[in-house]
This record gives sequence, structure tokens and C-alpha cells, in this order.
Amino acid sequence: MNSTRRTRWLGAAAALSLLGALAGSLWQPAAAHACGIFAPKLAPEERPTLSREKVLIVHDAASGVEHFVREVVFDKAGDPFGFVVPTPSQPTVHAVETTPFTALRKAFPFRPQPRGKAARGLGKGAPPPSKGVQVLDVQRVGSFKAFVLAATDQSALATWLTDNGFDSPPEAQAWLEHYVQLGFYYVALRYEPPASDAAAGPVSMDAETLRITFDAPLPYYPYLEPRAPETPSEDPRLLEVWYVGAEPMVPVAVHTGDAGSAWVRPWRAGKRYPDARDRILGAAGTQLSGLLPEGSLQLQTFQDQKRRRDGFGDVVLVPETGGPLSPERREALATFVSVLDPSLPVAGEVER
Amino acid sequence: MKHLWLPTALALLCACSDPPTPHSRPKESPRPDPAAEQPAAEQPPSALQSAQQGKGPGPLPQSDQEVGRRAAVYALLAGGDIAKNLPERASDPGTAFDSNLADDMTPAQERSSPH
Repeated sequence: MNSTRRTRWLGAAAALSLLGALAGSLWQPAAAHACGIFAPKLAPEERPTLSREKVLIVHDAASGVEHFVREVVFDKAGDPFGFVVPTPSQPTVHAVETTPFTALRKAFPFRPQPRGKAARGLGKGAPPPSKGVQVLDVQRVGSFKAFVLAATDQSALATWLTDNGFDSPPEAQAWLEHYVQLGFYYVALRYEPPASDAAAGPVSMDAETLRITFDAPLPYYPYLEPRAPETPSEDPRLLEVWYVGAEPMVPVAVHTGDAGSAWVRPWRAGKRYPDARDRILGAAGTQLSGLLPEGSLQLQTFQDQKRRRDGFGDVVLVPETGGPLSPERREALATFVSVLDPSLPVAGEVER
Repeated sequence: MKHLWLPTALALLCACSDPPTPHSRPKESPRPDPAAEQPAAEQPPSALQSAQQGKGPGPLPQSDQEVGRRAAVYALLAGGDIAKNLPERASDPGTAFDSNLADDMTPAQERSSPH
């Protein structure tokens, strides 16, 4: 990646599936980019692009709680943008003061394995309720305003996003509909640059790290992106994941292509670190120590280098060591059945 | 839409008849899908038994096809060899995985120390 492009890049959030440039007078009708960011009509090399994702997933299997820690890096701090992160249960959003990723990378490098081995109330506050959309929480998290949403109607959600400054291009409609059918929740994060930065124009900005916590019976990564039009891009893209949990896991996702649908392992597994609790605490610091589950912990590293995620669904991490599922466990996992086979109807009514 | 994991479901549910769609292989992977070759004996028994008994979650009426697919998903969620043997897709088709990409994209001060 050349430096000119690097300065133009906006590496933003989450598997984030839907990123939206803020609608407004500064912005022309959006052009979707390969990575799910929707940007104004700029030359390809000038469009905001999701190039780099760093995620720490801490999952407590006993309580079924996931902490999804993500670094948001962007260079064009003067430009507004937003993105939406779907979660299988109602999330809470937290700022992480110090990014843990530099220390994690040093303490737990990826090192690929041989193949075969496997501040609440700021700003205007919550907008008026829209039909089909519930605003469950609004808070300031770093430079972002975070809206926690629930929606029972895809059109209403799209309207809410548009009304609140998130561009919602046509290709996002199917994406929204998918998650509405699943009964998921949403964290809509709207970047609100300080007035001084906005007035100064594009400036470099440090990364910000956010934590989204939600209930999940298995570790979950919102990997699905809206299918964006093809754009010429040879720029690399990298997702780095550090997973912390009690037992080794295998990331799986459905991929749908011309030949049909198949399950795949969408990430390359790197080095794994058994008995890693003390090293994790040493690397991640005290701010994350309260997130770690009890008992012995192992850490796994993963990387993904796909430039486009067309056809890939969300990622669920399943146990490396299989075992029978009790009826209770099957019920708990029902949320993920339609994630891994979208053609299956969601079991039961979505109650909220 | 074809469902390439149906062979898995059919392996799990050997009693099922009427395969709903033709079997096919994913274009993106030249390797055979090992999950489709898992013997039924290695699958989690409770998921299999529940699926065979039509005890899928929720009250929705389910066709045999749906029962099979749902059982296959639960077998995958249970983990084990089914998951471990799935083909990997960590880079674009025709593009080799670059083990040095992280270093190339990481500022020097953030890079891991040599080991």
C-alpha cells in the first residue's frame, strides 16, 4: 500500500458490515465501496476504505457473554462517517481508553501455522421513536455517538438511519433485512468530529477502541457486509483477531457463490497460546482484566486477508472438540442456526 | 439455491430420503468437503437424534429438507471434526495468503519483536 493511499484510507470498524458516510449537505449520493463503507463520489483511491481491522474477542462460555473489542482507525478525521454493528442480543457500548492491540501483537504474534493443522445524553439525545425501531440507548463513546437499536421492520430501520445521518444505500437494504429477520440488535456508531477538527479539514487521528458487550452462546463476529458494486482496488485488507476463551475454537461461516452454499473456515489460524491468563493480563492491562472469565484461558490468533467478503455470512466460533448438544444447548444456539444457514427460517417469534 | 452442506445433513440423517438438491462442490475450493464425508457415527448423537425425531427448535412446521439442514447446522455448532475439516478461505480466490502482510501494514513501533 503506498503512503498516498494510506493517508486517504479510513480503516473503520467492525466487521462492520454496514458503514455509512453521513448523509448531509456536504455529501453527494453515496457510492458504495468494496468494504462496505459508503462514501461520496470520489476517485477510487480517495474513497474511505476499510483496510485494517483489529479485534479482541473475549468469550465467557459459562455465562454466555462476549466482549467484542475493536479498534477503529481512520485518517480523515475531518470527514463524518458512521457504521452499524449487528449483535445477537442487546449490547452495551464502552470506550476502551488504551488500545490493547499493540501489546497483544507483541505478546501474541500471529505466526501462521502449517497448513493442515488445524457520556450519556450528550448532543441532541435520542431521536424521536420511529415505527418499527426502538432506540434503547444513546451515549457518547470517545468521538462517536453510539445508538443501541432494535428493529422489527427493515424499511423503518433504513429510514431511521437516514434520518439520523447514516447513509443507507440500496445495497444495504438486503443486509438490514437479513438482521431484522434474525431479530438482532444494532449498535449504530456515528463519528462526530470535534468542531475544531471539522473546521480544520482532514487531519490525522489516533485510533479509538470500543468495546461492545452482548450475550452470545458462542463467540460471534459480525462479518457479513452489504454486497457492494465492484470497484477496482488492489489495496490489501487485513483482519486480525485475538480470541480469548476457555477452549480452542474454530471460526466457521457460510459462503454462497455461483455453485451454491458451503461452510468454510473464513480465517487462517495462527499460533495459539495455552495457559495464557497471566500473559493476557500483562499485555491487555488492568482495563480488560475484569472482562476475563474465570479459570484457565487460552488465546488463539487468526488473520483474514480477503479484500471482499461477498457471499460470506457472519462468523461463529465453534468448539474444536465436538460433543453432544443437550436440548437446552440447542435452544440456546438457535440464534445461530439461521446465521449459518440463512435459508432456514428463524425459529420462534422474535420477542422484544 | 443449492446447499452444499446437504451432504453433511444427509450423512447425518441417513434415514432421510429424497435428497432435495444435487450435490455439488464449492467452486472456491478444489479440495473435497471433508464435512460431507464425516461418518454419521462421529456426529454428535443428541443433535442427530433430535433432528431425526423432528425436534427442531421452534414451533414452525419443518419439511424433511429443513430438518436435515437444521440438524447439519447443529452438528456444525457442536464443533469437532466437521468444523476443523472445512475448507479455508482466508484470502481471495487465486491469491496466496501473505504471512508478512501484518508487518507490512503495521507501523514499525507496533510490530512484534522477532522470535
